[in-house]
Amino acid sequence: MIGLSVERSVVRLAAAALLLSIPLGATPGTSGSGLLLIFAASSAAFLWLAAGRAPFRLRLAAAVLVGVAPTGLALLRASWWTVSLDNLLTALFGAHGLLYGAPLLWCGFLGLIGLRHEAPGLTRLALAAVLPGTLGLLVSTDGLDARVRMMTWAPFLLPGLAHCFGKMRAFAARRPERVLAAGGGLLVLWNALFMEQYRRRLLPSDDTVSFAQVTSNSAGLLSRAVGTPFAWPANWIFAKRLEAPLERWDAIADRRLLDAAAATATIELGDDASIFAPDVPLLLEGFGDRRTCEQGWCRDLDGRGRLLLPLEGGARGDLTLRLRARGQGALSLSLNETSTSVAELSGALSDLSLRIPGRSVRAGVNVLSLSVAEGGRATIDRITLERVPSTSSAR
Amino acid sequence: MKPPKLSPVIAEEMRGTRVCRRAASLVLGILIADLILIVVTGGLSILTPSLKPTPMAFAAREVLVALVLGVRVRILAREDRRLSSGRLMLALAIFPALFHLHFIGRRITGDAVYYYVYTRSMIRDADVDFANEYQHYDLLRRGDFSMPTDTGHRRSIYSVGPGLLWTPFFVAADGLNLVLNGLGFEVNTSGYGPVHINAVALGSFAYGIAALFVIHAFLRRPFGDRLAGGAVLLLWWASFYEWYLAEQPLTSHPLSVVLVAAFFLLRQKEALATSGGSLVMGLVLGVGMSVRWQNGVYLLLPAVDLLAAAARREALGGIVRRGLSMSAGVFVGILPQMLAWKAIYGEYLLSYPPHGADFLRLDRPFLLNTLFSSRHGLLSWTPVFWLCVLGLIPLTRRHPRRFAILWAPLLIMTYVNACSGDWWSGGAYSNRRFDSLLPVFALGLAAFLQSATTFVRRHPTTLLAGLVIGGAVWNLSFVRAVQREEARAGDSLTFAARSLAAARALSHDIGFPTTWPASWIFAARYDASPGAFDLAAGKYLFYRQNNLNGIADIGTDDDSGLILDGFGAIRQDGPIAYRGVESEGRLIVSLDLPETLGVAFAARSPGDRPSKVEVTINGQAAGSFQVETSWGEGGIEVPQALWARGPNIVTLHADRRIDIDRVSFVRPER
Repeated sequence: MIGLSVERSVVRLAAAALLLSIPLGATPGTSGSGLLLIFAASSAAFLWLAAGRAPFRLRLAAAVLVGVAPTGLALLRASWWTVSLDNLLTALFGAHGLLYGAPLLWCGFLGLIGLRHEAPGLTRLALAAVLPGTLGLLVSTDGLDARVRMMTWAPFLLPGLAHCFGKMRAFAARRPERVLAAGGGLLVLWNALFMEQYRRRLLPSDDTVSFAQVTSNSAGLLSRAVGTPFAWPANWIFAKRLEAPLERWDAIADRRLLDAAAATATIELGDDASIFAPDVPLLLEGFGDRRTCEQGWCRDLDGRGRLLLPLEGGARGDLTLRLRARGQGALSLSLNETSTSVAELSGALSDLSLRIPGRSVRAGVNVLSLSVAEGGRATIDRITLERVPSTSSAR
Repeated sequence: MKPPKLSPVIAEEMRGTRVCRRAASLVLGILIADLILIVVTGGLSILTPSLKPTPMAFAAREVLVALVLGVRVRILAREDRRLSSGRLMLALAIFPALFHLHFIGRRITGDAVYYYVYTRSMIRDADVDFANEYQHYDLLRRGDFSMPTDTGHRRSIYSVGPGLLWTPFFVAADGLNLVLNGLGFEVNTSGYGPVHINAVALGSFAYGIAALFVIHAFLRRPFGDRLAGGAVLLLWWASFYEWYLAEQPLTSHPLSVVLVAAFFLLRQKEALATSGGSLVMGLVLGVGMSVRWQNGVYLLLPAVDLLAAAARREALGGIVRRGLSMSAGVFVGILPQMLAWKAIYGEYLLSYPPHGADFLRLDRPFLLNTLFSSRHGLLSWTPVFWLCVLGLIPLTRRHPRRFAILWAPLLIMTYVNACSGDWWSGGAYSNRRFDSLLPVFALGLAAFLQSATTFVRRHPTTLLAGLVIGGAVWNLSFVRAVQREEARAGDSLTFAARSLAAARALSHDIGFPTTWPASWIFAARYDASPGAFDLAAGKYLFYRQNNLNGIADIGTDDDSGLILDGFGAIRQDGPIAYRGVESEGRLIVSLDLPETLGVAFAARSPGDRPSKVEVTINGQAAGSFQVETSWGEGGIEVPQALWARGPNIVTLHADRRIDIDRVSFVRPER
């Protein structure tokens, strides 16, 4: 490649890493072949720009266009949009984020920093697309999925990725024992997590086990202790800001309970006992285990509790929050410590409502605080969110 | 020639350094004594007598000890006395293990009580009559302990070696209790109290640590200090060793490893070249056999060495003398065990294992299960051992005369473990019965690391290929999970949930990597997904502990591992949980030995007509039964000839859909 002094095998591996980073099958509404097409077109654009003979400024401008165009297109098609750092963190580190699904692409970003002295022209070209493309992720809209946007400029990470791979290769040749130490570290980590789940009796002490379950238990222990490594540092920021457990980030970051398409969202508490239960990641402190109540399943709230309500930007506007619960005493509800409502609990499951003005609703993660008077107990069956129809335009 | 006179400045410096060294040693001694006191007493500290150290405070003490240790043995030490970096690595790794031992590790759980009673009984009662000890631990009413043996003692299937070797620590605990009592503390002198148990646990831990340094010592010569240190460190923390060092220290494993390691070191130092050395070597191995009887396999090595000496035409008298010395040492070493058996059972040597005549079935090995099953498979639980075994290959190729013989104990012990009644080693972390092979594994691992270092230096691109493959597996396994509907595209899942979905998909398609190649063999043999191997292999209908009690309750998730294919999702009909079978469904159930069994199916035929179901066992027609439109039981009797040892495939062929609640396997009345 022009300006890159790395072996062909390294470039091929970098290209393979890039190709395998495409989030096939994880993007609803966008086919895998669609993503591949976008990626292929963008890769061709990059190669043409890198090898092209046109004036450098022209090529630079074209690269900027590649980086900016997806965001521009998304905004043109959008019925709503928001700008925040959270959007960027979610796009990169959420469960469907670029770096969460393909952590090797860190090398692409970091490699561009290292490449600036060796191949300044190529670096500038790559950055011309990558920088605006990445900054464009500060914008969240319903116009174009963030993953599709990322695929249009992801191929421009190739020089950085190849450079980083080249450095790693050279390091491995110089210090192979350190590479083996890292590999040994992974074996130690596997063993430590396996021992810990065995010690906590997450596995039977004397029976067959599913290794898929072992893997899941290990992942759970790791993410509870230090957060999912692929989501660093976003999960740490999230946990610190909301005083939430580290492992919640993955299931919350790019989840949207209420989006522009759906006017209602219902969270059933306790219905699902599996690890895929949709209510568990939303619950912070105060909520008990699932239990039966009347005809279905519920969870008890003892005293105070909080839960997370991730909402899309387009869901802003007045909301009605309905809680189906029973208990003794008064239950107060508060969203983001602003809108508050107090209602009296009855002995049978009944609906309690909270009208939330649009100005109290944040795009992204909202926190619903609940408190039972005098530290009593409320049994909660479900929570329903409903958008109050607005007479004004959606934009 | 007189040595040159030192200048006064240099002499003063050296005196100063000597003072610093002594001061550092003193500080180190106090700090280590403090840590020991905290562990043994459960929280009493020299430094903070009125405050029980919290985990943070304990960790801070450990960091301080590590710093002082580093200064003392690396900076202040004379060049010829400096602790090598390999040993320093091991020394520093003691601290997290000690933390584990003190704050997390268990004491009297599992087999611990059965080893500990030896120590307590020998010191307190000067006997091996455990009636009072079993009484204390509420075990006397248990079937195997309630009846005295022919000598009036209580049964023990455990070796005497660990209990014996722990006695110095028990006695030290007595001494400590005296001091504490004198200082006005309340103490428990019964021998069941925390001070005694913690002291013995710490003693076992110390033996285990010593084992690691001994292994390092004999790895140093062929592999160098740092590589040896790295190999020992990796084997320690990536295998079951840490579990039996710090989590469950009151077992025979740390002692077994230290004795076998000492044997290897003596062999490397050619102890067999002299009568005295042969005696010591025999003693070490004999005591090793008193700790774990299978250590006797290592007698093969000195036997081969002596034969090799004879082949080299060394003086026959010397060979015989050394052989006799060796044998004398072995005899002295196993004498405690023989005396214990004599006292308990009335015989110096038992004609069969104390677990029972049927415990070791040498004609029935479960090799693949022992190594790869999810029930404590050695390689499936702790894949580091793959590297150990692979490393032995180049090692024996390069030095066949020195190392080829090691395959003998490796293969023999593997075979014996696979022939044990409970090949999965009971309630265990990984397969602990391979502990005696740890020194051999260490050699293999060091060799692997040596070869791997050269390989990576020559082919550094393999690192990148590994990273790319890893990245691909992470991404594509989730894509496959979505395809298989283990997860939904667009769902935001926790790391644990995503890992479960991805690992299930991976296991289904190609088997979980640590179970290769056994899961592939299983899949090929039974025309099933390799993922089914995990829950099927090692789950018995009747055999030994935690068996199915003859019932495959396939309407619940618990026994879903017995289903190969053809059964639908769980559904509910009132209190009955069931699965549907459209036309053909297969189950896999394991037997220890083939036997005639009645097979009953709790089933119904939905709709208005009964169904006829044909049953085949391992592909052979076994009979048929009718399934009515309401829940009931129908079944067949399957003769012994149709069953196989190990996994059996039960196939149902129905002429129309049926719902099955459970399948019961019934042994005829005996």
